[in-house]
Amino acid sequence: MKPLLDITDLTVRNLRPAADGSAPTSLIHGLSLSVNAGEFVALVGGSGSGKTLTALSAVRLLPPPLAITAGTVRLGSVDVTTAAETELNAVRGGEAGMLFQQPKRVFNPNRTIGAHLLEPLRVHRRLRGAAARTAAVDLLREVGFADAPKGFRSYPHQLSGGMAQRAMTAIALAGQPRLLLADEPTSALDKVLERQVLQLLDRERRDRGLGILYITHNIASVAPFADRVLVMDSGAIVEEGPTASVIAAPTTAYTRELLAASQLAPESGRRPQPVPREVLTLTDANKRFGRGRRAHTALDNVSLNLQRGEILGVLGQSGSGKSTLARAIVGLEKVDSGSITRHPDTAGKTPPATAVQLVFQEPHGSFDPRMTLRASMEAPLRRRRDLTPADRTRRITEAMADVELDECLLDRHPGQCSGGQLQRATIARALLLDPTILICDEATSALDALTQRTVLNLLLRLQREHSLSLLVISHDMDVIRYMCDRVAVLLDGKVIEVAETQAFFAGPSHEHSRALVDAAIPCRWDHLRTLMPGASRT
Amino acid sequence: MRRRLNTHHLAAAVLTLVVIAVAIAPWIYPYPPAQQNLAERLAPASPEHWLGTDHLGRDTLSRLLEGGRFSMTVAALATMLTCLLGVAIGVLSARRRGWVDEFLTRTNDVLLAVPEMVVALFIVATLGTGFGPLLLALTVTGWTPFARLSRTLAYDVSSRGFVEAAHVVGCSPSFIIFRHVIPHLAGPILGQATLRFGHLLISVGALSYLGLGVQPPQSDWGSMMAAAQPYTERAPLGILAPGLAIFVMALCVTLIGQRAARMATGPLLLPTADRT
Amino acid sequence: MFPFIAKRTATLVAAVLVSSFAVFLIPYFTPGDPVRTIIRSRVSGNIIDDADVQALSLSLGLQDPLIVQYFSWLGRIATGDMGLSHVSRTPVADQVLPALAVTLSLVAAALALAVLVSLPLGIVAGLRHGKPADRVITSVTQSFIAMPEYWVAPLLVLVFALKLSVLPSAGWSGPESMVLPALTLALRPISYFTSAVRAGMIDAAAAEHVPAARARGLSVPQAVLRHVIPNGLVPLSTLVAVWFAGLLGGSVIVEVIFAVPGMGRLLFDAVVNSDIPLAQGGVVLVVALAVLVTTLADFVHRALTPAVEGSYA
Repeated sequence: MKPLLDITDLTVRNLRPAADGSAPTSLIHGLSLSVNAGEFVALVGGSGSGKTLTALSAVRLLPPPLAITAGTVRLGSVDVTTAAETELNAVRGGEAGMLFQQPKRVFNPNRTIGAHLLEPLRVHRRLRGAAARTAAVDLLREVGFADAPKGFRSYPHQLSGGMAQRAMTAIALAGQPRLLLADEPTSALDKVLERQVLQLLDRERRDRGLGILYITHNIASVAPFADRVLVMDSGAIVEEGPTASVIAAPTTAYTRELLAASQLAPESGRRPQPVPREVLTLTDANKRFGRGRRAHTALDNVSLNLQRGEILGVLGQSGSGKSTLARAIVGLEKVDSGSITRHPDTAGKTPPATAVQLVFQEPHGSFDPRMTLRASMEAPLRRRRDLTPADRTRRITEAMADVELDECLLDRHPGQCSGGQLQRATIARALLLDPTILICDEATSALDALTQRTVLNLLLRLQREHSLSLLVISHDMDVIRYMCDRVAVLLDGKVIEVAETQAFFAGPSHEHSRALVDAAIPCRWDHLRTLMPGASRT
Repeated sequence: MRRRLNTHHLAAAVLTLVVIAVAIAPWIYPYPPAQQNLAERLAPASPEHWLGTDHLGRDTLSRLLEGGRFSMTVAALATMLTCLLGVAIGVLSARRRGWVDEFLTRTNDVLLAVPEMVVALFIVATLGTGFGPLLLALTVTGWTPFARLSRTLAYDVSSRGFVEAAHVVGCSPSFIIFRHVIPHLAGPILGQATLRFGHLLISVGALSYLGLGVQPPQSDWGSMMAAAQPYTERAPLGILAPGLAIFVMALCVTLIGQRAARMATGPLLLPTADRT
Repeated sequence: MFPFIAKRTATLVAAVLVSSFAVFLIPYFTPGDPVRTIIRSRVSGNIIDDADVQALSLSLGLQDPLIVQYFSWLGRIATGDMGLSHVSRTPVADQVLPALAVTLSLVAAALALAVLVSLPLGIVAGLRHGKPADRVITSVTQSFIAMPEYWVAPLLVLVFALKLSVLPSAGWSGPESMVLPALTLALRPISYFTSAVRAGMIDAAAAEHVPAARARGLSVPQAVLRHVIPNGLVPLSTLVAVWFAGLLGGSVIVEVIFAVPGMGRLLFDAVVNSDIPLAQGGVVLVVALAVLVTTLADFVHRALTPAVEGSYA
């Protein structure tokens, strides 16, 4: 059988000479891969490994000055590297449909979903008028729009991330392609939605006999669906084979690293039990944004308490109100009603407002790009009259050592630091203020998996050493399970369940919690290993 | 790094030269600007009168140097005034939000729709001509672009993580405004200010041209052009020269301003990847 | 959409009320007795007698509280009674409305010209971003910003009217007399429109949805026509409206130089001659129209960009 997509010895270079006049760098060197009809192939690699460029090369849509300089790409019967543009236009969307990473950004914001959907129907299937409309609505229904005519009329901004990804799938399928190139289509979605999209693609694969090249950085999430796995690093394929064997017996260190990164094993030694003494209490906190029909309830009668030395996880999907909760506790938002109380310490003194510190999700946003890290860290200390400049310097140096960062970073600007370094620096800045409570709002979600783990371990150590109370806010089940003593689940601004971590993962009581836990399980490769052999797909 | 002579360098050089020339005008002009010589009315350019003379035989070059003082001073003062006012209002809007923001933004919207010239005419009609009313006329509508720009930028920067982080770690409001917010505005505002200076230079000239700005015996570039207009055909230099002066000045500041605005929005240092 | 319209309409009404109140107060800020000034704009014939002033002041309601006077004044303006001009002693409405018609046609011609010129220039410059065509177009049109109208106009007159004698140098009689004023007035809008269209094109072309459209099989021209140009032109709609509003009264210089009997000329004359009722009528009309036009443009912009959650709404 001839493969749908056959790439041999592909080389992609940046044709613009580098600043120092050296030869153009090669971004992909001698890559070969093929995808057959009805086959689900996963292309896995870290950021910058060249996975996206591979997908773009398959339909020759590389952004200039990048170009294919050697090798052949055959899509069906067309040689993509030498074909004329008009021929390629028939291939793009007609032979190979494409899914992109940011479902929201790939739509023209000024046009309806329907208008987008009609384009490939006209170009590839010559459908116009009522026939095209019917076909479009049918496609939307097929990908899971309950009210397809309404979906047809809606604008991109009116769709949720998950629905936008479904709409994009409909568009990619509209030209009746035999191959689907999916470039991290779910990395902007949470795990529940990710699984739904994968299930949809898998169904289309079976129904239409599609070949799928699925690009991702998360090997575990595609493992239940993929027939073969290709691991890519620095522009070349370093390992390939059937999914089960790659997972069970990885041959390269890089693959092992990727596998390890997608797993967070529960900590072995338990931390000392938290002292039953409340440091923070939320009572019936309510917060609404907007008015009238557009109003949105972010916090709905939220009552929670945090014990001294405890790590409490707040689990919720995007839009569940978990960020509002963090912002309300540190005082960036005022609650409409209810109370947020910080309790006095053993000496009977109520700690200052700065004793509650927050670590934000986006590491590059937390520091002013115009100031050095030292200047940013020193600013809050300047208000302390009892500290001399020498004291300030000493304390900053100590805090940096505490988060295992080199002191020389202090004189850099945020733009010169990596995300992991900045997230550590954010933690150091928080420590400077002698906090009793540290809130981590998706503090590691923007980091890659390896860095994520080191930052989480750092947080655990600091929590022990400084006897902090930690509030860990995340959508990531693995993070919660790894870190927390107790879990609170937030849904549409309501706390629907609070339980001990182990009890929670053993048997969540609320239906929504169960959906979250179920979606998370196949993403853990240690579970996978037991699932994989023989058990392909049902 | 290779250095190239760019248009904005040239523009800066010309601007500096003219500003200096105008500032030291009383010591360098070839004739007293008010000195009439009816025998030499509307003379063309010559070695004695580089730019010819006007309808009263006054030396055009001398009057050009003299007239620049008024036009540039008013335009510069009005730029500073509108800039300070606009930035203060814009930052206030963005930081206070709520009804304060609503009110200031609406006022801004409305003033944007009201023709600047009508407001100027209105004020001159009410308060009469003179330096003060002129400055007021230019300021009343002139602050709006600054307020718009600084509100947008301040809003943007206020919702950035580092400003919220500064709140959480307990930095003082003044620290946040002067160290985080204002530096973020400085570049674009500076660019805007130079662009507005050019615009105001033209507006001052326009009001003087209509006889509503500078009053005789003082003169500026606008009033010189108004006086020379009846003689356009006989002595085109009389209108060409001051017009060119305004055009060149406005063009220079526009070029510099665009450059400043581009630099301000240029890429900051890009984050490095977290690869080990 | 509905709360947005309601909010905008409320702003419109508030703006007209506030600005017209300022205009209503003009007699109280200008030199001279406001009561006499107002009477002179309401009653034809000469009043010298203090007793007459007293009587008329009573019968015209000038003893009422200011706010009452204001609303009755506004009511009269709204019904087309703008009083009598101090200079010509004829109804202000009879002068203002023809002048407005003249200015509307002049401004419409100038903006039509500006759009016709800047659309192709902006599109070409934006799509050829950074290429020689872009540089030439950008530097030429940008220099228009710096050209004072009172400099361009005499030069155009010198060339086309005095030297070549192909167009009239001034006056308002037939389409050819509109050419030079419209051309002068169009220069600065051309500059702003071209740069807005260019920037819009650059933004639209860089958007991620363009490669996505290519991946659906759209050819480059199809993608540009469907997804780049329409998106890139959206900012122009607002800009044209702002300029339309601005030029309604902003054409003073051009109208004075070319002796066009329009609104700008009328306001200028009113100020020079201290013709208060004329100035009041003109300013109220211009401001109301300007605010109306920009509000309508906001609605249009809103309809064109459904995703905007209204940073100003």
